[in-house]
Amino acid sequence: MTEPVLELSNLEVSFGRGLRAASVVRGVSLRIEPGEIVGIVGESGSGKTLTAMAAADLLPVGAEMTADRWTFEGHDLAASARSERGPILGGRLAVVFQDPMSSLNPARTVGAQMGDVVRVHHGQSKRAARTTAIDRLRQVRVTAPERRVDEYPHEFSGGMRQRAMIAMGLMTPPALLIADEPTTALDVTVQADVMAVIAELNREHGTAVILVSHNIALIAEVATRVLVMYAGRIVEEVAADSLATRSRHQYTRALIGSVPRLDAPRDQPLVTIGGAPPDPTTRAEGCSFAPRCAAATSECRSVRPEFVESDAGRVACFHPAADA
Amino acid sequence: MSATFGRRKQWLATLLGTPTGIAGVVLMAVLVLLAIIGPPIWGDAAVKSDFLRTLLPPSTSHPLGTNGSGQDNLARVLVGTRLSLLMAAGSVAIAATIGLVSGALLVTVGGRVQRIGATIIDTWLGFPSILLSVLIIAVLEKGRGAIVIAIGFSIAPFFARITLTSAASVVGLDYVAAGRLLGLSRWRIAHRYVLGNIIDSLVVAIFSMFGQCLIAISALTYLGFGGARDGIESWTSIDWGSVLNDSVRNFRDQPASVLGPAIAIAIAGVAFGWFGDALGRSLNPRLTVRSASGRSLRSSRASASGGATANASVNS
Amino acid sequence: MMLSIRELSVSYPGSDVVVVDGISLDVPSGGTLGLVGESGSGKSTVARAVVGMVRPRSGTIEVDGVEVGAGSSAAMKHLRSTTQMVFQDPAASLHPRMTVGAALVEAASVRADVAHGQGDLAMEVHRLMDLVGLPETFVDRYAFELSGGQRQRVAIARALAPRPRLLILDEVTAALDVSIQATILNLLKELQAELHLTYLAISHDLAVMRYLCDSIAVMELGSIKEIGAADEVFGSPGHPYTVALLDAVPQFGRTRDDRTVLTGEPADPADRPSGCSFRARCPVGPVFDASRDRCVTTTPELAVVDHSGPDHAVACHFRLNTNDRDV
Repeated sequence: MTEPVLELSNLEVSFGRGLRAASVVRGVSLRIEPGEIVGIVGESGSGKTLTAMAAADLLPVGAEMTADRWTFEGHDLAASARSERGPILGGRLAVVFQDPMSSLNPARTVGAQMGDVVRVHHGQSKRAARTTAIDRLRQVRVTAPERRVDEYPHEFSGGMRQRAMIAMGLMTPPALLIADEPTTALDVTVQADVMAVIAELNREHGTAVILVSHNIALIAEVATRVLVMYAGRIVEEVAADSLATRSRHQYTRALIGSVPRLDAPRDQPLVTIGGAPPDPTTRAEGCSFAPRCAAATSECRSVRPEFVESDAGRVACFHPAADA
Repeated sequence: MSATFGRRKQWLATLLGTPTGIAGVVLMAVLVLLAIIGPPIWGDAAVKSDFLRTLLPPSTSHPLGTNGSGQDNLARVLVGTRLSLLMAAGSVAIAATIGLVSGALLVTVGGRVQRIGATIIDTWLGFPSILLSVLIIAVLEKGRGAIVIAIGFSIAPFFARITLTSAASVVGLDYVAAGRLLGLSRWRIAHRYVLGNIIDSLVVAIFSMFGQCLIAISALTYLGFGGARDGIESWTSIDWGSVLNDSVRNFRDQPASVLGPAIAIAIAGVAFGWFGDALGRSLNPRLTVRSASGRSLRSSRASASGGATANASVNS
Repeated sequence: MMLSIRELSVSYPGSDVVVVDGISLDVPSGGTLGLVGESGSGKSTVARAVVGMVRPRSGTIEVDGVEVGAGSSAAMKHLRSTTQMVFQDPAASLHPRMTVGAALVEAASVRADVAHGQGDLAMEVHRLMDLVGLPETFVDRYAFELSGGQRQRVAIARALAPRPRLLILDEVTAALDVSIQATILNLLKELQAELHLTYLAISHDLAVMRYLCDSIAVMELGSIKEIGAADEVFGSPGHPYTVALLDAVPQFGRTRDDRTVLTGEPADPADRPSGCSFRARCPVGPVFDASRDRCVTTTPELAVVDHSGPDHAVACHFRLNTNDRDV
């Protein structure tokens, strides 16, 4: 069996200490094989972004991370010091954020920033780096790349900036691209374009992708495998093409039902989920979705469900739903 | 159902919530007290000349020594509190009134008038305040009133600027548009929606400018403007700037006397600044309100159970 | 007609750039019209023009039979008593320093014919909070203490306080989580039935619009490219832009590869192309088929499509066979 690109076991991310400690990610394990596109879907407070940021070693100040195992391309990151992780990840891991304007330096040209990656990690000359940058911009379908490479981020449109960020990640072919809500702020046609670029990257270069989004239909379209997160935990793992029909967790079903669909009858009512996600500072017993779940029983409220294999993946639910 | 729709009175707690806040409030109280009781208690000691006791060094009966006319330096500093504070307050009041009103008017009118007005303000702001004041004083009669007006006028553009930029940042927001759409009167929008939301930064600005005004005024009286030292002296002619003038003149003989007015000016500036910050904080509900769910952005003593039940029972 | 717009053109103050280029539409009383489009389409500007936040260059806007576009004080007065708006960003649309109760009292007090005694206003606030499903205890809360969904409920309650007949919904669920979005959409539908409201909804999210609206107008670079009943526009779209938009929406059970991807950026209103504004990106236009130079020379007008109902109109020289979804 080939080595996974990324492996994280029993990840926990928390903020604060003692009484005020809040665990926002609990017991998350994931394993990304080369060439996979894994989608992580959830709503605000599900912990999906922090999970991705933990994997990318980009947790914000104040966040504490523990994991039983954390490897990247076979290297043990858990055992490495912060300074050692840079060389292991640099050039092999690319990250795209939701708001490219705040992750691109407004005071430097796009080309210069892109060049940093290869000049720092591979010692390329300025000219060589610029050529590579132009090439990558062309790859992500930025028109007139020779001109664009010398422009500043504010001269790029939103969609172009996202593509520039992806291009930046491509400067040295990455083994893994982590994209956190990369298209949320973009028009739907531009979104489709950016997704096509990511899909192409995956197809042509074998880059594995972790795609984090609240847009469940988008994930279903692009990913091969989907992880559904709720209240800091993964509640279901399912093959993307089975998401709509054979997902089993009550939350997943409710989530899918709450999204208006172009292929459903126009007047089909949307599913609503009463209540709100639990407070991360509390540690309730039982399933964290139980207070809002229509199928919850006393067992659900007292015992936390473990993963059970289902025909389309695995699910942590005592009352998995039937086929849709 | 509770009939009160207003703010909870947590602002006192916020005012006194930080070390600097407490210090600011205490110092302010001391200064105001001195301004009130200074002249009655130490007035005589401050103006009574005694040419047998000129330029005495610090001692128990004269902690800061005496000046060239035999007057007690400490008494003069204490008495000078009233005039200095009054003059600085007067200047700030004038500056704030001119500045806030013109800034607010410009924002309400908007458009090209606002742009032209902003340019005028920036130009005005560029003038060195002391120079401008001297010019103004030259036009008006001498006397401390002229100083107050002059400094007030030269500091006004600062307030206009701050009002302009704060208000402009708020005016474009959706809730102002919503207010207009409801048909609320222009006055209400200007007052409740725009001003109400920038009030905390304005308050901080006003109090922090106080220190600047104080220094500028003291500089002018130090330089001899404001016509003093002729005829009968009373608290109306003693302020820290003129006391400083005295002390500097006698510096070679009596270096310690400089400390009095200098420290007084510094303390007053800092006190007002701290107080202003604390007051500004207390006017911002985000920092003061403890909500029913126990969630307060200031306090992290959120009660966990209270938070969970409140959240769980409400449909988002 | 509750809302009637004719030949509306708007350019932004201080600039000559035309953001809305002569559009016309009608919304019947009790109906919902959705304006969909991408950034730069001008849809938000239309909304703002209706509520008087921007002045039109030309054209008319009639709300409940009264012309309001001109902005006279009588027009504005009529507008305010008939029309309200719910904004996109729940964080910016509520007064940061007013409690929910205070904001609702203020909104309720503007109506001249509602009694203003303390007790009456309190009852009115009750009624409003009940309508949108907010518990009583929220009366003393500030906006920053509420979640996005709760804030939108307050915004809706506030908009309903003056008892309007027409509500402009500007991307009202764009900033919300999907499950919350569903709750708000359902709430809006209920309120419409209960209070007989008319809605003009603006959004870039086609699936949401399909759910909420009974008619749709698709805008691109300031003009309406297609307009008609939602079933028609979504079921048998006639304009290549509509088809491209629908194709771009992610759907379950489809994968990336089997779709046309629209390349290029949405056009810039400052740099308006001649003829059809969509021609640079159109998958069946002159870029792909050189013989179609009509698209370059002549701006297509909205023309009613024969097969569907009388309302369905498309502005395209080569409009698609409306029974055929594949471009």
